[in-house]
Amino acid sequence: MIGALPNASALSRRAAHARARLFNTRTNTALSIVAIVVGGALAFLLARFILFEANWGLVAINRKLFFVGSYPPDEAFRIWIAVFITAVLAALSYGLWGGRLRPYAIAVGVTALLILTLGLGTELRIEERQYTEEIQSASGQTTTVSGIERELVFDRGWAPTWLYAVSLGLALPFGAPWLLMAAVFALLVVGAMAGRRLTRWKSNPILLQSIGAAWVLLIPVVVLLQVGVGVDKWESAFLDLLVFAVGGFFSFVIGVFLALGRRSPYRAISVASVTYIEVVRAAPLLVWLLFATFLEDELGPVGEAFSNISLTYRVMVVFAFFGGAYIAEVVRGGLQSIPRGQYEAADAMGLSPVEKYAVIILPQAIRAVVPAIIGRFIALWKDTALLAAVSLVNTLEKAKKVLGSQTDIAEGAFFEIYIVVGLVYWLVSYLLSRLGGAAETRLRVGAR
Amino acid sequence: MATESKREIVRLEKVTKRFGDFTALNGVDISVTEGEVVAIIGPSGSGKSTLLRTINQLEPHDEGRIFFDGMELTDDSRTLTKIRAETGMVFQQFNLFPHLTVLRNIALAPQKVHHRPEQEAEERALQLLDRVGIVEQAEKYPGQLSGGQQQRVAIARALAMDPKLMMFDEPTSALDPEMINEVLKVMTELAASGMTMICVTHEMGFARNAANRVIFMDEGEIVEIGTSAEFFTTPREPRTKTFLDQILTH
Repeated sequence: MIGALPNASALSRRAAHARARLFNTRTNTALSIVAIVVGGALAFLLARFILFEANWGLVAINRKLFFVGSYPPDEAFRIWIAVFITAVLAALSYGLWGGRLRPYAIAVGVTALLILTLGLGTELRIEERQYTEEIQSASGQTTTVSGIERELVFDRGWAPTWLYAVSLGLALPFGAPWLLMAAVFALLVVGAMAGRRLTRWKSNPILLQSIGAAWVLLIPVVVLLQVGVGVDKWESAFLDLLVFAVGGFFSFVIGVFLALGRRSPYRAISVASVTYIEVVRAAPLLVWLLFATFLEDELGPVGEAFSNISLTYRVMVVFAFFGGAYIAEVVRGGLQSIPRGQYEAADAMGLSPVEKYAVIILPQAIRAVVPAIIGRFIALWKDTALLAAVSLVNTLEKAKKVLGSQTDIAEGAFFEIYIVVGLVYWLVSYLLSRLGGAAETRLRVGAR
Repeated sequence: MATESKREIVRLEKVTKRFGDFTALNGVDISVTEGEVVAIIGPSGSGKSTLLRTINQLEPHDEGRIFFDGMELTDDSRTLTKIRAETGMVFQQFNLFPHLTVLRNIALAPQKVHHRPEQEAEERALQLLDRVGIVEQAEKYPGQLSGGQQQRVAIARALAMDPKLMMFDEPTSALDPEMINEVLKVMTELAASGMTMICVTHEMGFARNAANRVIFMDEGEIVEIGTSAEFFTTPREPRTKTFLDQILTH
């Protein structure tokens, strides 16, 4: 209508849009109403739980356990160094190439902050109470027993409870390693700004290669930082991340070689590759993990040597070889999508077989299957939940232990704990998925 | 003929190639000398493409001998490396590398095979792009170019190896009609510059005007070889006459 205020017209347009999309037929209207009622109720219950009912204090006092388990506190610098390097690299890469990732980066950042700060400010206090009780024994005598009863109480003193869930930034300084956390935050901001400054060179091959190499080197550096602590000290999210990073990286390398091996003109190599892939995929990961756990010297010197390695490393090997079999099949699909003409053109210009695959075939084959590879990585990440089955203490197992051991304060609080565990799994999965999406968009440039 | 005193680039002696029971090439003899432009024509399935592809061993021959610039192609991989490094091939479907820019497509082989420094290879690539008339497309990807432009990039890519012999496998067959001429123009200029060329083609105008000799193939055999003038005006073999009648009447 002419003369209507711009705001009103925008509003009425939105209403018209909703009418057209949600209430256009009788069935659609019914479905929409049901969806709105159910969704609204769920949102209400969730909000009520998060803000008023949840006992986030339990998360607060166990946060360190969720991240690093019972890692020796004196050695914590090893983890902080790893966190610092990762933060700088992540921020630099984001500043350089992450422009389109901003909404996802915000989602990931908010979730990370939530995990880091949920319930901060809560403190445990022991309340003491004098008590006297009369006990009647079987013989009819009455004894008076008195003493002091101690009870663990969450002190939510200085602010209303619901504030803990929302005043996260304010509460940050109250955590113990708050100075280090502030340093990480500063590194993230400075790194992202530095990355922004370097945008001019974002397509420079030397910069690309050096940052790529830094990411790859990050894994051995973090593992090397652990020398002297002992891998059996790795627990919780830290353990999961390391097993996933090492296993995922090597599963990609193994997968590519297996996929190439499968197509080798040398029959021995191709048969060996196919056999390997089929055997590994024939059993669930859990079985291979148990196999790696209980494998003693049945397999002769090789088995003996293997069983002498720390279980954590053995599990990483299993993850790499198991993931490799699946990635091999994904990459094989990519290789099959490359037209014969590409091979012929590479041959006709005199490229060696290695150059042909490294420069022409594999780059095209792998970028054709980026979504499927990311899918495999996400699956592998969530497979770290299985580590509990071979008596390694992963995030999930730690949560169970917390619930089992702190019965006095954890009573009925399993929902709070598992929400945090779920957020940890979700955070990494989502990060992988969005990174994959960004890689796909970037690599699509120049696709036919 | 004056060409006989010139250096022989390629010679095929009784070359035979079979795919299972099917004989694609049956005892073919050819000789091509330096600077010569040879057009190979014939119906589809007559073995024209296979003939080209045995020369750079994309299809290894089963019988007979192939000589390239005085060297026989044998099982020794060094002969394979040499022939592929010193011949350029242009395909019907272009076969450009879609994930590399036009410039990288052209500079790649000189860098990897001839070990030229990157800067030198890319400068040369730009010269070649200028020669085929699309220097402004250097930083684009093949998928962003028209078919005719892609095929000209493919020609530049083959030329980047400074080949002694250029082979064209139906270079205009996959092109829209309005793009055929831009490719033929480049090929004609190349022929005039003295490049030794073997072209499998359906473009009779090109065969008649740019080629020195025309080879007519059918069922894996060479039916007739003649200079382009006599081939089109006075063909000797009845099969040649039938073929020419079929394609030239329209």
